[in-house]
Amino acid sequence: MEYETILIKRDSLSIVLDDKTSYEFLNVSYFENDTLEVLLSVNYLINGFNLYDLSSAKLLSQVSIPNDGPFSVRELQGVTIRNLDSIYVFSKMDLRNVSIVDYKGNFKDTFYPHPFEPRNNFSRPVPILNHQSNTSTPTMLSHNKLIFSKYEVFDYYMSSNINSDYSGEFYLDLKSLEFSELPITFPRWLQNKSMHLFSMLHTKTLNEDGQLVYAFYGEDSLRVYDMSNNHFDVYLAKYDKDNKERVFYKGRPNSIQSLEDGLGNYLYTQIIYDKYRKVYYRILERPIKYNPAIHKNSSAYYQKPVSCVILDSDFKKIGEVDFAEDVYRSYGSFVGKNGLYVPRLSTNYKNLDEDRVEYSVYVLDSNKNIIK
Amino acid sequence: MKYLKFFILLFLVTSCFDNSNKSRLVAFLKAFDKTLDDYKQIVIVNVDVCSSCDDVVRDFLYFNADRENLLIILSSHSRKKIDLIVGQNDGINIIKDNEQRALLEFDLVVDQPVLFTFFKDNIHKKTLRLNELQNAVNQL
Repeated sequence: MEYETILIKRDSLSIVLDDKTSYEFLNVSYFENDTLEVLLSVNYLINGFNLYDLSSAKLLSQVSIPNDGPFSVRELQGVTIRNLDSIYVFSKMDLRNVSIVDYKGNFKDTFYPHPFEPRNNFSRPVPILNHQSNTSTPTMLSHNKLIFSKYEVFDYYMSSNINSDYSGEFYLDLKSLEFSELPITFPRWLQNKSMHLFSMLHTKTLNEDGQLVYAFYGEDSLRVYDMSNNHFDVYLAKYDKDNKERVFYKGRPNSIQSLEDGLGNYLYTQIIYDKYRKVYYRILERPIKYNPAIHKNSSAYYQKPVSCVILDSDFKKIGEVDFAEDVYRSYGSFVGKNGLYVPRLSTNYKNLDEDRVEYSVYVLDSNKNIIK
Repeated sequence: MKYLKFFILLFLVTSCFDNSNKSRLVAFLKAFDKTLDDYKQIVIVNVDVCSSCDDVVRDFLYFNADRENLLIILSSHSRKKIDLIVGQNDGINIIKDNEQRALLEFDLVVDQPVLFTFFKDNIHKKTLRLNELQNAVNQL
């Protein structure tokens, strides 16, 4: 099918890495204010983050957060930027305290949320929270609430766990410091079944109306949850050639089955809202044939070709684009003023460099403008 | 008699498994100028699997890098990443497998850490979670 909208590569960004930074860039956040556009990359190797000026690609600051002591974050998981003076930093699996630092790493505050109690009223508060706080499932700030995504610590291959009690989203009210779960559960077609682990995970974003837009890696649709009126909508948002039938598992697959299945399927790894152009990008990996001589473990996913489905503000599909093969990775894209930044981090990318991260910057264009 | 055949078969299968593991491990170590004889345990960690777990690996190195009988192999496609994780805990009992040969060439590790423990002529291979590593080597 031919669409009216396409993405065209207009620019590139090349970030030179210092000697404390590896090129993974799996957890990045974008922020802009009146004077600056910045990219924050969580740097797990220093338990901190790097902040880059997008206009110059220069490192603005590098922050290493202490692991212990009065102002510390043990095992940093992710961050949310309110502004450059207030960056929330979250520990892995633990939200008993949340700290705020500025972009130079100065500690501003630490607060202690009330214990998390799940909505299904299990007997006691939950001590660990597998919140994600990464690029595909960011912790987002809206109406003075931090909205987290979580993946469960239960066995996803036990189909009885895939039920409506599950909640994949929760928020922390920054005024009351209370946690609340949102009714973001597994889709009905998946409940009491099990499929490839990645297919059962979700990604999310928020739009300007405060609607939570989320999608499962293995689902052809987008789901929109309006927190103000508790209303859900579902929109078809699939890649045109994605006509594969869902395969449900009867039990835990072995590692080879799992890898073969994961490589052989479409996986929608990211949903991004572009507030500048009022569109959504749904990034996906296309299937490749499993080759046991080459594909040994989950790193093989980074060899899958990457595409993007484009939806307008009403969630109508207006385009789809295949990015060049063996160049891009389907994790870690972000939107800035200039367009959609897609990382050239395929493990097959011939210019992959330990000391540099490259992005291609894509902009929307009309299909009519393309000379064929 | 039937049971005896079963146990002989089981013994042979287990031996083959041990020999296969052992020969691949020996070949891998040879590539890094090491031999099995110097160690009671060998740990292989693929550090590319979990970016946010680097601290756990670093802590493990801090406590174990200078243990005489333990060889620690860090596998990654990034030399820089291994160097950054190792930091000041570097030593002769650490192998930096920055071409992921343990994974790609010798099939010794996949995603989760693997611990090889030697009992006389036998090798016991155990796949672990990252947070189980410290306890597993403490049992030596």
